[in-house]
Amino acid sequence: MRSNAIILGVLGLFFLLADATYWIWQFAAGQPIDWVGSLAILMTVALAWFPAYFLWKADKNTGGVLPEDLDDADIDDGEGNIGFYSPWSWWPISLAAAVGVITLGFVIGLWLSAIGFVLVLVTLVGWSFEYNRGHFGA
Amino acid sequence: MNRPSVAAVGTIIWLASEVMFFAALFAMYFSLRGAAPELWAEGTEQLNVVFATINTLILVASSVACQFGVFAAERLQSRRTGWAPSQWGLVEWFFLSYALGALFVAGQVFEYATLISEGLSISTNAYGSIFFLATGFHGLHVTGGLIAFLLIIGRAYSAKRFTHRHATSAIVVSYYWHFVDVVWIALFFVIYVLK
Repeated sequence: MRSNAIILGVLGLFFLLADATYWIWQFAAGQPIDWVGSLAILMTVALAWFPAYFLWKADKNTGGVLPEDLDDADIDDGEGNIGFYSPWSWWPISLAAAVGVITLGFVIGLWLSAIGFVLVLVTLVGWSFEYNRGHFGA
Repeated sequence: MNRPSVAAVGTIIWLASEVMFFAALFAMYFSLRGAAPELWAEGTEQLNVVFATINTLILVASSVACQFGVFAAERLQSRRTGWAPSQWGLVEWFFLSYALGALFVAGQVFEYATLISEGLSISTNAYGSIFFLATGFHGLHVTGGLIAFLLIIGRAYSAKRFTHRHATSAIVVSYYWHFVDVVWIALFFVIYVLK
């Protein structure tokens, strides 16, 4: 994770230098300032530094060196729980279908989008509460 | 060792891509402004900066309330133990955050209605288009965040025992909420201050 943070940090620095070069170039060519490009490249810096900062902080909080940052680590050093993943669930594809109904409504008629919107609410609640109710909840 | 939750990493990566979504809107704003400065001179006259400033402060307050909710979630306290704000749990803070966010959206709807009654709509001219597109897409993000607050509050109520799993989803929603708040501050600066 340390390496990821550093790579993204270097990328952000590159975009920052690119933006500075872009500015200097405009002045050198005697052109009016191009706000669109200057701002877009500047926001690319945010694109890179945002996850870089997060990963850097997260790496500090691990309280050690993660195996992926060690040259002599073995594959099985990285084993363990990655997170919780539902073994099977009908909700994600149902949500996708509901969003599809909304989009279809833009073509056929907005009444269909209204139905799709209700379906989205149902599937969204269904998905987020699948493991937060019944046996898992109160 | 303590790995960051995949939900948190995923949210941050997604928010980084959202930066570029709003970058496109900012780029549109500036290119239209560069092409038609006279529309800006006329269009920005119609904005009510005082109203927008108050609305901005409401959204910032909502972010602060959200952060207190996160502090409560980190101590794994989902409900209040008393009426004093220092005893509030995640649910109470998120309700406050929701109310302030909803107030912001209501304020924006009021602002839209005023502008449209004054003759500035999305189809009036290039200024109207980008004004409503930029603030409108932001407003949709706020609305999405409000729905997320409700889901987190619902999860907190349905939890038998409030655990780190519940806290993580609350923290992830707070990342999103702060992001949307920061984007608004940038939009506010560009649209209402810079004019």
